[in-house]
Amino acid sequence: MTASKDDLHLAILDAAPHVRRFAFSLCRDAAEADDLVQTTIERVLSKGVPEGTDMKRWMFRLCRNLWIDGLRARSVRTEALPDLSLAATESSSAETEAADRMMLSRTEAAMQAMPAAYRDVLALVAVGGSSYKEASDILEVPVGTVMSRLARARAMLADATGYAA
Amino acid sequence: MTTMDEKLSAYLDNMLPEDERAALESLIAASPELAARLEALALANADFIGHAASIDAVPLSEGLQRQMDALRSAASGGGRSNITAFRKRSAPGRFFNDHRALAACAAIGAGFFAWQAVVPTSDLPSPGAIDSGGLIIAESPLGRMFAAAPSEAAVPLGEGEHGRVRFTFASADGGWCRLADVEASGVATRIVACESGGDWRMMMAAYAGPADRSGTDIYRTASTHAVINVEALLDTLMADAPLAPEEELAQINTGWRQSPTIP
Repeated sequence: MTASKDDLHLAILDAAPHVRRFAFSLCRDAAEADDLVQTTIERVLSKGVPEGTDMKRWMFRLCRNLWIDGLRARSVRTEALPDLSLAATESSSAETEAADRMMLSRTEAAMQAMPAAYRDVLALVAVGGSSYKEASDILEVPVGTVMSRLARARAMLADATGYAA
Repeated sequence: MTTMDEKLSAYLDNMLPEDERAALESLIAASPELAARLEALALANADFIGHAASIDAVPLSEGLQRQMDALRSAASGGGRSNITAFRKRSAPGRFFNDHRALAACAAIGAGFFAWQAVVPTSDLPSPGAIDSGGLIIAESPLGRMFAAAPSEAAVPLGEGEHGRVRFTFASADGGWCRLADVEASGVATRIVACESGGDWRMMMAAYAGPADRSGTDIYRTASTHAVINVEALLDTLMADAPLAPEEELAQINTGWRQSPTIP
């Protein structure tokens, strides 16, 4: 059991930097991304991983699902307490400010404007290195949809950043 | 129905079957508009990846740091030491702050973990030296340069074409990579390639048009975004500062068999 626990820890450590980038591409906020990675790791440690599963892919999947859960919860909170939610958005932590400074402004603006469905698939494939089939399984959409959303996401970014003529 | 953007996008991801890939490359070669569209999508993709990688420069939150330390401590207690830590970025960061001109060229292709062709491979320097998957043919002059040339040594690669490895560095995933410049017919191409199992594989190609020789640097200053893309790629890939000449020579002499020690 000790050996398998060591392997689990090592696999988590190995995957964590990739999951952090993936989380950041979903959240666009460094502090929120770290919270998401932390929760993802806690979930892996408490629930384990199905045998033969690639840890990075598994953590991407968990991370995305946790992020969606968080969005749903936030949506409920926002509806209930719009003023408090607005106030929270306006206050910024040191980490947020540090992240803001390094952001590529035009790409960031384009990412903010991009619908989540497009950003998710681009994050999975471009950042996470998932194949179209893996992205299709994780997002539970057909491969053709993955393909069209990827193209649309890149086109949106290219248009917004001025790369497209 | 598959749109052209979808095909180009799948091409960037290396997800097209070989026959479709070849057909698309022929179309791209014949159509400047299509090549421009591919480049726009590739640059947008590289921006997205670069943006995600920018979190590497942000210190871990206190909670995540504690969690990672605990995992590392638990794992090392088991007698294993090959842990991939979050990368320390200060050394390569300093290097690139001091060598901005090295990164000032326009990216035509950028991939962080696998090569993504953005132009037909026939447009790359040393025709025939790089296959469609980015593998640099070991027996080609370009392959020999990556495997055996010390940094800054001028290497003839063919008629009117020469190359020069600029530096060698350890990659974040524990391998060796080299950055080299190739110049032919006034077009300078910068290639980053990494060694794996005795082969060198191209990770990125970047080019500048006809050299501007009015200054000391043959590379034109590219747009801010292109510079960011190239820097983001190198900054992501580099685990440490470039090797000193004697360290590099030791690796050349042993055929790159000794894995780097990443700080």
